[in-house]
Amino acid sequence: MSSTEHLTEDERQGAADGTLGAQPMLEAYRHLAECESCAADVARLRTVMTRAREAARPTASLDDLWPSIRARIEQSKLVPLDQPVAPPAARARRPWLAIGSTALAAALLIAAFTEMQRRRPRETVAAEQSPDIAFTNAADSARLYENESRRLLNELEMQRAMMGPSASASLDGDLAIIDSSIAEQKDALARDPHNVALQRLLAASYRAKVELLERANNAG
Amino acid sequence: MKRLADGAAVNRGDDGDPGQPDAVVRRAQGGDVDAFEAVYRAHAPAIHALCRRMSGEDAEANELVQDVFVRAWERLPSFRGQSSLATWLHRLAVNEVLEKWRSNKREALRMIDDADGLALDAWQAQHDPDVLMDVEAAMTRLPAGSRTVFVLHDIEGYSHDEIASMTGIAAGTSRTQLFRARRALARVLEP
Amino acid sequence: MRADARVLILVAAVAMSSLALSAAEAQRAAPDESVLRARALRAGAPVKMFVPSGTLRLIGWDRDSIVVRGRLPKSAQLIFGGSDTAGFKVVVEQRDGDSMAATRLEIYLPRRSQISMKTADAIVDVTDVAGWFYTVSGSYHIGGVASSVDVESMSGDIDLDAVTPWARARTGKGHLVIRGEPQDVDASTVGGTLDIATAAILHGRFTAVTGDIHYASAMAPHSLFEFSTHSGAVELLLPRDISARLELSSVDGVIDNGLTQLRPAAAGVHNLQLKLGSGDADVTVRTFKGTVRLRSR
Repeated sequence: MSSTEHLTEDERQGAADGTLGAQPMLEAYRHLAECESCAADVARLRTVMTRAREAARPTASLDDLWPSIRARIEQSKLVPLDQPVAPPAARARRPWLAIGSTALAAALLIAAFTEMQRRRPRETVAAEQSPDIAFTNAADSARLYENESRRLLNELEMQRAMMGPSASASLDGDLAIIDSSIAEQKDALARDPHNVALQRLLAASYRAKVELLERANNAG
Repeated sequence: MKRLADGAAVNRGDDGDPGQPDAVVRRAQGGDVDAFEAVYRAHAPAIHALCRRMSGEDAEANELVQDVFVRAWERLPSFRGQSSLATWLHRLAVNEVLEKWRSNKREALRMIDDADGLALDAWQAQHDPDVLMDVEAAMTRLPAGSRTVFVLHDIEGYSHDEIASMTGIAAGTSRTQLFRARRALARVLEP
Repeated sequence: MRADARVLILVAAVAMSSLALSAAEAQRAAPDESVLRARALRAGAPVKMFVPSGTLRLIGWDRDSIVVRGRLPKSAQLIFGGSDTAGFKVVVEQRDGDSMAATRLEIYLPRRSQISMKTADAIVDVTDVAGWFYTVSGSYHIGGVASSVDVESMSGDIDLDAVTPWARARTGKGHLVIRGEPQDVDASTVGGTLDIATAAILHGRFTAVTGDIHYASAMAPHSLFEFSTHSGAVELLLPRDISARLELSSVDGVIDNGLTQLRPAAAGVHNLQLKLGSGDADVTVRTFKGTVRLRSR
């Protein structure tokens, strides 16, 4: 490719996701350094990918689904004493159980959602109407991150024994720093609930905590 | 399969050294449902996120998560630790979702529509360019075929050859679908 | 003899010598002896490495083979084996709790290998390979060209100096440096300083909790930046002719604008918006109580 020719669609997409070979990649970079139009287009594609990946977490607690899964597992383990064993295909599914458990899960979800709405501070409802598409409901985000933090902290207890004392001390120090910042930001948010910048700072602190715990879980 | 790029995209989930299933997994393999619950709690969020992105619907994702973990329970004895458990579960989940689609005529037809690009064009035509969407919402509104390829390639890190073998479409079609999905998302996210 | 034929012969010779050397998958290295292992390896194969300590160099090359050479301490055990599909493993095992700090290894592997590497406190230099790199308290220098880089540490230093479309870096109190030519960067520390010195970034997200963030470079046209800290300072050293739209806010910190005459509108107001030049780059800075400082270079 010459610097005067624009990148092809394949080259732009390849430059965006890094699937070009080493040499074409270098050539594409050289072109991108000189061509605003291609650079902007590649950046646009990359933003789509980044945002899609960032949207991937965290996921809400899935505790509600476990009883149904457990019931299906237990059912598959049962062998009625007075009946012949059903073939695997027939044992695999229990439609009535799935319907019942789905209804139960739905009821629990509705109850949880209603409770969440009831408890949700006014400011977060107001903030939901913000035109900023990237804005995430602060209360829900906090709940999700706190759930995720708890889960990771539980996992971490198993890793602690395998961590060296200095790594463990370093982790505790960093956790204390982040927890302290979260506490300060929460207090400030209580005083200024409409402050979107504060909400984003709090989300960043939660994200820092979750990522720190994930890193710590990798340390073992 | 293991994408090692961006944090949001990385399917790392290393839960132990491959080749050595940890004690909890070994207990679950031996039939301990409580141990399997620990496996579920550790991996369900990632599996749910995958199912939600692929199906585009929360309710369907919840059903799929249940199916995936029931299937994981059934197949866990065959897990030998060649890959991490997270990778093994991801692969199982993708297969489960695709298997369900293959058995569902309506979804299969949607995949064929996508291959012609008709569904994607219709989706873009319906979209109001003045309304900004968040990326989650935009992804769920992509036609099934485009969404599947986008999720598998850009988020889960599968290659076009792997996607082709899993979905039954050609690798070239997978590439085309991916490019179109990215363009469509770019248009609705940043008109 | 054609060059590729010579390469094939070389790889075959190295592979054969490795077969002789690795009769078992795991061999204990002889005391104070150098190590040499080699195997054919498909480009793109997953490679897992665990080397707790020492000094390591990872080098991507244009051959379908992996070679490990260097020295291992007395009590170390090198596990070297696997397959293209299930993944290849290079593991240095610690025995009897001995220090592994004397480990010195060079590892050559196909450029497109997908590496997953962990260390405890090793000093690692990486060139021309992509992957996930983790250390508890060691350090990484990542250079060359890579399709993606994801590097994480609990408390170690990270120097990202690569040409790459994707980069993600995390550390606790370590020093994190971003240079080279990364295009999409997501980097954060807890208490460590974050230094950014490259004009190649098109999309950058930089966060710290108590650590300071310093950005000292031009900004690419249409680039998008987001800086945020809790109590650390954010300092942007920008060229006088910068073309950017800046949105600065601090809940309880000072905004110190040394770039233009513009100041926050009133005392107690901690927001400042600036449009410099035609406003090509888009920059957002948020701190809770850290100082935001704009300076010209």
